[in-house]
Amino acid sequence: MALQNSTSRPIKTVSFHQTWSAYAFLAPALVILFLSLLLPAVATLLMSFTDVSFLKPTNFIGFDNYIKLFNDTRFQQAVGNTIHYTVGVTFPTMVLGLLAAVALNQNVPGRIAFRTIFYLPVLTSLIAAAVVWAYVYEPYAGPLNGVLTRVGLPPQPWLQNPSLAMNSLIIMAIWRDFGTAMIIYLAGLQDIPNDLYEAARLDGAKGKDIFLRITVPMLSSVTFYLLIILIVQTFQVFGAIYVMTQGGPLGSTETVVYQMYQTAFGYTEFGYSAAMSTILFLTILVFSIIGTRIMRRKDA
Amino acid sequence: MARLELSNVSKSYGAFDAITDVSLAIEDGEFAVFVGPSGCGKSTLLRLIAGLDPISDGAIRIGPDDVTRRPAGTRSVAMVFQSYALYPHMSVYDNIAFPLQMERRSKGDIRQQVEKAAGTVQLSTRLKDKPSKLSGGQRQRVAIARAIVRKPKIFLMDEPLSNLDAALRIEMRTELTQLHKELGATMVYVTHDQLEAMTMADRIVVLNGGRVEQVGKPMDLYHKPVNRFVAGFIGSPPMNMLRSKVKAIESEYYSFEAAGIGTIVIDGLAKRLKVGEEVVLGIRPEFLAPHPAGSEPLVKIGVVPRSVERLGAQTIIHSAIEGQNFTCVFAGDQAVEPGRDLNVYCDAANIHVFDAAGTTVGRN
Amino acid sequence: MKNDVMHAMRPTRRAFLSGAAAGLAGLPILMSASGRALAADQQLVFWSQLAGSKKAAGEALEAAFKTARPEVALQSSLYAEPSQLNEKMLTAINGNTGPDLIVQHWDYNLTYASGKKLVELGKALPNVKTADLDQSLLAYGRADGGQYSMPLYGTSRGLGINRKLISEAGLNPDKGPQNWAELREWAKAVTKRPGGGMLQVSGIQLYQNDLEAFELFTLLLQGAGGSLLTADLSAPGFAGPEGVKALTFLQDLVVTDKITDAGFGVGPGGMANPFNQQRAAMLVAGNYSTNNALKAGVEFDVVPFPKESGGFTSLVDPFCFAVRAGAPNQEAALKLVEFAMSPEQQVAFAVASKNVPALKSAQQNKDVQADPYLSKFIKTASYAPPTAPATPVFSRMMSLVARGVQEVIFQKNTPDKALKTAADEVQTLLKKS
Repeated sequence: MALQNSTSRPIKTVSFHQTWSAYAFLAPALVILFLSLLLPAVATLLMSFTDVSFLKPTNFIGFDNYIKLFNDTRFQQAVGNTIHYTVGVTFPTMVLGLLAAVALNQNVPGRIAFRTIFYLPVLTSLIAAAVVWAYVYEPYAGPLNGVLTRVGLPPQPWLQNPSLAMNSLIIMAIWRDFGTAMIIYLAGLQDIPNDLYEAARLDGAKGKDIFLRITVPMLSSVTFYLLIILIVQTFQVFGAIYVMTQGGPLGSTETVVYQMYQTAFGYTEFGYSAAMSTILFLTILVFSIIGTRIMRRKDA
Repeated sequence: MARLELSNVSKSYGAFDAITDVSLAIEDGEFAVFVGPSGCGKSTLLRLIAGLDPISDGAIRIGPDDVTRRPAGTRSVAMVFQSYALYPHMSVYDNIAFPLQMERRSKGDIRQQVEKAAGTVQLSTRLKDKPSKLSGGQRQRVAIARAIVRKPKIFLMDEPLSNLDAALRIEMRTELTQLHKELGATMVYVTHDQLEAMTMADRIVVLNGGRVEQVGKPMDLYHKPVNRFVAGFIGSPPMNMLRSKVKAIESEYYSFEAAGIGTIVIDGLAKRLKVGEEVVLGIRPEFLAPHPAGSEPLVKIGVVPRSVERLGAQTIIHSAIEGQNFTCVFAGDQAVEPGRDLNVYCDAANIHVFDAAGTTVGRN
Repeated sequence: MKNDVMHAMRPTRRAFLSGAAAGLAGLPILMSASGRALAADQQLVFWSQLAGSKKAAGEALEAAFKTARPEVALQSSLYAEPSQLNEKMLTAINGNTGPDLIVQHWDYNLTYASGKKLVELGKALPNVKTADLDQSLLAYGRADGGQYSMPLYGTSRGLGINRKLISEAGLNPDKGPQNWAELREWAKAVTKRPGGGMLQVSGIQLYQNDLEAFELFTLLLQGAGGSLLTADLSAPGFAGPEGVKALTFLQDLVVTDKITDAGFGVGPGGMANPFNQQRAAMLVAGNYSTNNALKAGVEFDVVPFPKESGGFTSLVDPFCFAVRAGAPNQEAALKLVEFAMSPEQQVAFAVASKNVPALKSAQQNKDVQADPYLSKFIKTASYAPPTAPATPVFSRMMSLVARGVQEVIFQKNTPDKALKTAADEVQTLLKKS
């Protein structure tokens, strides 16, 4: 007790100095974060309770935007489309990324070249990729239909048919994203001790057993991480849709973020758009929390 | 249980020869220990037996079967890894059950076997836990149980105790020896620690530079090392080595001129040394005594103790002769003062003589 | 010892921190220093959308203005797309840092006008006589009885044809279809579907985006005698029998006659669109269609778009000047508008950009008429009604109608139901505004 008393004083002085200077050093970063992240987020939340258009006087309208949102069939379609896109992109991306990573983690010739090739789409600009894919999907001169007709299958209007357009965008997104999944999985694979594989081999496990019982579960935290970032990322898809389909045909590729953009800048209903944005934010937040909870439980 | 036989086994990685022409047989039920300094190839040899790496040349037989080309997992060997290599995402139960699940055994059978194996290593109450919840010793037991449950013909253990603290290591040493007796299994155990080798082994295989230096019972290696390497490796503190020259040979008696000591006379040596030949004389520290005792001819050596460790049961004196460490271990507590001249005595019969090539010069 | 070190360091740390604090204090100043704030007050800030085929014409206009009015310092920024300019405008209006003058697609201007963010130009431009201007184009700049935006030029719609494909089908490209029945016959005649299977040449490339789907419907609606909105712009007029007739006609073309596939031609357009690839014989063409078609080697021609039972119709689509309310250089802005509306500049701009000038006299100028395609678009412009769907909810109405049209083409809905749904929503929007 006496000892504690005698030491507590200088410690307090030091820690005051330290916190004070720590905050001072943090201040520039905190101010920028506040201005660029927190302020817009709070502003968006506040805007969602108004009818702000930046053109006419703004009124506080309580939960009207949210009530309207829950009865808006167009928004419901956008939510459905977004879920379709998210599920359609996330799972195949992870499966393909995992398979590519496992294949290229072996000592096969040309693996560096393949890794590079698979990762290249991630590095291309989205707009350039979208232009190329728009050409690939071109119904009459595009190479995809060219291949189909050559093997005797009917050509498809990939981006022009409401029931195909979203899947076509999904395929492009998988092509773009699975390189990321592969790189992350490769890093995860390198973290699995070789001993485990050797132990499993000695325990009589064959390739399939090793993959399903050792590799996949050992990558589960990587998988959860990927799952969360892919969900969060695909929820916010915008660029490819803006370039390739503008939400059409028949709104079949209109996602929440595209509709947000359209509502804000096309229809100058910023308040309504802010309500959509808030809903999207809350959804993503829920997924992030679930994700971190699961990760934490696994680590424990 | 089975006999393990290696015939002219070699392994090279590119231009590097990790194992060169190793032939040895480990008998059914024997506890064999591969020992040697790091990089000597002992773990590589174990991996070759397990089938984790293919051999470059030679053959491996387990029991009547030539397993040289068989993949790991079909050789009926189990291995305990230095890191334990437990599956961290599986419970203790599943870790132990894994090899049986791979054999597609029935659930009931698996349960019975796992519980039995867990009982053997005293882990019956921890079956539901993940390995991360266990202590180092408990993880070690899980690894052993996972090996036991397969009922392998050969157990392979790659430095299984090196990640444990000293006290636990001694405890596990006893347990492993006990387990070996209970199971009556053929075990091959790799360690760099000669103490572990000495205490546990039925037979020790000393490896150096990818070659077998000597195979034998612990006390044979201790008393009759075939060369300077084995003599220096086995025993702690290590054998004192003194550079010397053959000065004269008179019938049975060989006189050696040892630098910094003077003349040492030894009798009963195989007659193959010539006058003027360079040799190394080896004296184990524990065979040195502060007073003349034992049979003639006695050798007297004058040392200046640099430091003295009085441990009660023994007293260890560190000194140097001609720049070479020279250690004495005396029984009981001896009041030796550092810095003061001291004569120590040794029975000439206990001096090992190595020729210039390092090979032991035998006795008649 | 440790304390000594701390003392020795303190001044340095304090100096560093005060430096950091000064930097932070400076941050807001830096951030507020937008382009507008830095611009000299006497500059006329002009944000234009005169890009692409209008770029040269726009530059020539600005250069001529600088020569004619050296006292005005013109600072102009170019935006590639109307939507880009709109995003910039909305944020600028919000921050009260907008430009003095813009040239923008008419419907955005009506949105700004609905928030009283624009200057009423009818009285502000005494030297521009509205009677001398094309009434159809002018109608698109009217809001609440005032002229809030002033058309610089417009495009008009006609039936673009590929003369080669038309002739090959045994039709006379010099005399376009005179009514819907003939239009239908033409479309069927030029469609190529070998073996009834894959479409090789579409009779009409119907639309490549929502706006074109909307415009096609508008032309047919007008052809059937209807209009998008009632005369007072307070209610939708497109869901009546004329609208249903128009959409049924379209449905018949696609579903019964199979003159094209649903969704055919939808995409980014430009050189890649099927008409320019010679894979469609006709399309609804505007002035902007000419360059790409000719570049693609299409034997391009324009004929007026027929009404149901004879006669022609069209629509115009102007780009208009607007002056921001509260802008510091309104006077200079008005000078530029006045200058651009002068006969010489109207002619020069029309010739350089191949667009229909707003000034009627310029439309008939011999230099303008000398351009074979421009003269045809001027002719088709004359078939446009003198009214316009000039409502701030236009973009919403456009996408709702386009959605209805496409639902019918994809056979997801019937014409009357699709139009009724769209009309109900448009009615709600109109009431609110």
